[in-house]
Amino acid sequence: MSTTKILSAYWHVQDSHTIDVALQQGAYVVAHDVLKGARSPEDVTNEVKKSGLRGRGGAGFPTGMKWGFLPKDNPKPRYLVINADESEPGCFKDRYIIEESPHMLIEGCILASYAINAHDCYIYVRGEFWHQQRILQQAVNDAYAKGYLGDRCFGTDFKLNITVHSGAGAYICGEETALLTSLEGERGYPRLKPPFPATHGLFQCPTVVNNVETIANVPWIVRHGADEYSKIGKYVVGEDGKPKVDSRGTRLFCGSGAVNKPGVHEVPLGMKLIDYIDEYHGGVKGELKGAIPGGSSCPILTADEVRSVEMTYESMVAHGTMFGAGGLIVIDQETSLVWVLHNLLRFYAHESCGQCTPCREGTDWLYKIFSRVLVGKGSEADLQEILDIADNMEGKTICALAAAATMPTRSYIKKFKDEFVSYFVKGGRPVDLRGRYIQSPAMARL
Amino acid sequence: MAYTFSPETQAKFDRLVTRYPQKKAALIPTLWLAQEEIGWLPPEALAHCAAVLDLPPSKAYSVASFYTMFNLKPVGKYKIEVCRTLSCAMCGAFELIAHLEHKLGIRLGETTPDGKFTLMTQECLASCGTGPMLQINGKRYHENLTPGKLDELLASLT
Amino acid sequence: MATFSLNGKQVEAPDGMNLVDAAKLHGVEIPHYCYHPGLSVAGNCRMCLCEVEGARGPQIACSQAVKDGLVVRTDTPAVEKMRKGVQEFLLLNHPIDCPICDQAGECRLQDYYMEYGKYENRSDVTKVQKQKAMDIGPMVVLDQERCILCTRCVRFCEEISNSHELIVSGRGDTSVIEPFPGTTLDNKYSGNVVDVCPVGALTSKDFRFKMRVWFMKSVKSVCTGCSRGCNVFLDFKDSVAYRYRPRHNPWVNSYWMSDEGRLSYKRVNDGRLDHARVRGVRASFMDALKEVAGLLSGNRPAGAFAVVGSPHSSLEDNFALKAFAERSLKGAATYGWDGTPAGYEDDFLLNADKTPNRTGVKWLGFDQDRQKLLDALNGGGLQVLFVMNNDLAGDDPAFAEALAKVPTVVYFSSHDDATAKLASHVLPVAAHAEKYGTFVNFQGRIQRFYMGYEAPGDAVAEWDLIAHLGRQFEGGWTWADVEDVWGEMRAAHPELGEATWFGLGDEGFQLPSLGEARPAPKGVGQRPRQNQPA
Repeated sequence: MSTTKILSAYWHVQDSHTIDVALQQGAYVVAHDVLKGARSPEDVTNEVKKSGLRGRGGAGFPTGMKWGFLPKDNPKPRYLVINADESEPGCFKDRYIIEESPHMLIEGCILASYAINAHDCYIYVRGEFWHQQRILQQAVNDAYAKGYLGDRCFGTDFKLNITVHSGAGAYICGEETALLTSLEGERGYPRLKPPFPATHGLFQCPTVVNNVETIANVPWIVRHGADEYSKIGKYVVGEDGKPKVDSRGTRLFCGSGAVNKPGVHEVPLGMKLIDYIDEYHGGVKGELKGAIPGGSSCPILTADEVRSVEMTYESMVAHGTMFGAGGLIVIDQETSLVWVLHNLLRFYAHESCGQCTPCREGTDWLYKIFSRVLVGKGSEADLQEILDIADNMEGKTICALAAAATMPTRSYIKKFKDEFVSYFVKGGRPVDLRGRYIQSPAMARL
Repeated sequence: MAYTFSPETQAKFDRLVTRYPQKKAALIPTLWLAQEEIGWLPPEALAHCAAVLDLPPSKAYSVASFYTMFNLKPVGKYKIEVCRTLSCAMCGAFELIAHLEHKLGIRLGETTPDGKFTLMTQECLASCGTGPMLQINGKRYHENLTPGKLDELLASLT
Repeated sequence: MATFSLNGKQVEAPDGMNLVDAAKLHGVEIPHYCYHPGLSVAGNCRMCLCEVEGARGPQIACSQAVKDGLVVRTDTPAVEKMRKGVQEFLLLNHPIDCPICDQAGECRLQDYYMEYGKYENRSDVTKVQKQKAMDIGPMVVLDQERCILCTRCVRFCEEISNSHELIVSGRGDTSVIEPFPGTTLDNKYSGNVVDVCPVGALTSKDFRFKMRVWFMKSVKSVCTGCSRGCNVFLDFKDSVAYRYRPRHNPWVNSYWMSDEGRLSYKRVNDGRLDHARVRGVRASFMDALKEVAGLLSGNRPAGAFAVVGSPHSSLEDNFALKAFAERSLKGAATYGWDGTPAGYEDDFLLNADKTPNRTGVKWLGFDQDRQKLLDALNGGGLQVLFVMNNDLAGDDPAFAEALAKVPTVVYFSSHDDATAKLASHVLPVAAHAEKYGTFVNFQGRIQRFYMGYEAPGDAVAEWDLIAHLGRQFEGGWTWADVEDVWGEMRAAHPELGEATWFGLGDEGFQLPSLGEARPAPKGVGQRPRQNQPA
């Protein structure tokens, strides 16, 4: 299996975030060539389309296709917006791209803007990334100073301004349309769709919103070609000539929870998840109970599923879950899943924007029920009630936050029914401050 | 009490508005400027931020109240926010909070009587691999914390 | 037009029309809270979810445009469950304090609970506590716990009154509606937020705790606060008016009305005249009528009589007065000046002319020149002056003086005002709440109002009083109801064309000679000033 590193290729180099190191590592070469006329915008878009690159923000939408959705005949300005609002529990990859190789992101922005003919690019960085914002702003300033950005990028007629825009603390702003609303100076409310950002995005203009990791892949793809990129990862064509598995390239995976060595690693798609955990995270800390593969919004995998699932989009779906944004949280046998769900439901209740009734009321209701159950006051009827409330929320709202709360809820209860039933029916079991079941009667700290 | 930007902040603001085709889009960065100056966003600051962007004051208030990092009430000199979401919680966030409560003699959400520390929790700060962790005044992350390292950190805050 | 399938039936609606409205055209009610036809679409309440073929999951009707081939179902068990679910979510943190809530009886939460809810309460969680009975402005009281955060009021303040007082603050289920700290909801149209609020969160300070809505009756009426004549519902019980609520008219007021107009209903209740007086002494209606008839029988020269019409009286009343002057008073002069002080005006609904029918008086041909009327009064030739609902003495001291010089002043009045104190013969008449009639607004639109209840005491409509009076000394006064007056007026004014009394409709009739019909302004500051009153 290929061990090619795309995103983290020079993270190990001292001061990798500086423009000097980036240039030594070949940054901006391809952007320079492309803008000087080596490739047309359509050519760049097609290369990305051909590469099979899929969005790394969670939904996994084909990137080239997204760029192609921009209307050709719309006279309004076009915008490229980079989603660096990384807030999904379990995900902490985009921050490392910004911290370690911000110029890769900036070069990706230049290429993507060129491809879609955008002259303004906004990078929306979550407010809490104070440190990362400063690194990125410095990198942007350096790129301006070198003449890579501005009115004449690389001395060509292509104009591009990049603005680093800080959020101020709201998970929902990671949702594409909420991000745009927030960027326009509003409360981060997701918008009704249609219309979609491709036609009515930022300032009601055609807009592409891409995740940091997605865009950081673009320079490599344009430089080495879609064919080279397709060699990385897993790509299997079925008998009908259509791809059976199309999970090309590498991804940054964030491992946390019950692993011996938490952290971020870039691996080619297609590995077995359990191998990845063993190889890169030093194995499970304790005995494996299950894992959340892509961030807290993804349905959980049982221990058996963790052992059988491959790190491909298709295998994840076959196991009833998704890749999300690559936030792997491993749960060990000692940890109470009721406590885990309680923790996550509090997160969603806290982060619901409050716009739609089912999400505003439902997330908090579920959280409150779990608060009661956690201290031993649950019943079997609660389980049915929770599933019914989840059903009334899921798919009934403007954005997917409600589903992000209910999908895990339903999957935990379905896949770990015994644990939930015994907890709900026999009364709660005390947990310690880290959510691990304990025998002592000490009260659980919520 | 009227509030206006200092000359330095005004200069920052003047640069910042040029980055957006619609002035309104500069609202959140403008609120950041005011909070940086005052430490929180009193109604006068909200009103000023709105006025410089030709917005009604209510807009600034509505927007500021949506985002957790804007302080609509005064906070201590050091606002300590401990991440309490799953990965951090699994590796000791609540132990950290308990330690902080004990050490500072306050409960979550409170400020020490001398106005030095405010203790709060925060939802996932994208530091899941380096937890438990906390953020001070919305700026630097302090990661991989232990009670010992926390004591050192608190001692360094003067 | 687009043809689409609604619950299995092929139906038609204008292409692009909102599905909530389109379904309504075909008798299918899609429940909704946040959608309001006069405001932008927010799509947040999720009550109007329905099934649309080919869509990814359920869709909200309020943001679904009707188009050819659309297949919609609103009657499936799945839709029923969604509505029930939303209803349950909305009531989860609602205080359910209906017995002490002014909205009870006209509350969407109540209505839809009966229609789509009816579930066993299964919530045992503590409700979120918010602020109650907040005095947020001169017109409105806010209860944040009753609020369902549909943001209709926020959108009203943003899009219509353009005043931006109310906003959503906070996030998630601790979100609340409130004004900016230290400010209030105070604009010329603030009362509309009470109407748009589908629940009991925003209630009217004026109406609060005065009357349960189910005890009241309601008629279509027209606001008399200014010459725009916003279409309203007049809500009353027995013979007391309790409130106005705006009634949709796309040509006049859209869905809105001003606060000033909203409170002007009080004039119908206060300071009313309910009995006749002859030279300051209370008289029976018939005695007074005979006294007045007696004034006409003598052999008086032409020019001994004059009449003064009124922009406070209906078009029919003024027409009756004019007919009376022509037929019974030997073609007496008809004056139409009125001194009601001008007031606040803006580019939305409020008009400086604070009378409802000045345009109608002019259209009928009354002479509205102030000086001419003053000269006539001071001239000495006038022996008997008939004044109708026009407080000349109260509005202008010069007229108080001049009226004293006229030997006999017969005053038909709804209110016991300064002129009533001064007149020799006073007869009580009905206010607009107590009769049928029309006003002509400043745009030249004839608008009909309905009778709510009986006029107080001996009061009758002006046209009726005039007919009574006419019958005292001559034949031909056969009007039995307002339609008869209208018919005669239509005969006299070919401009009314085919506009019969019953054919007037709820949107009124634009008099062609007074301009083209134009849609109501959208909101404050959104449109150049309209033509001024004459």
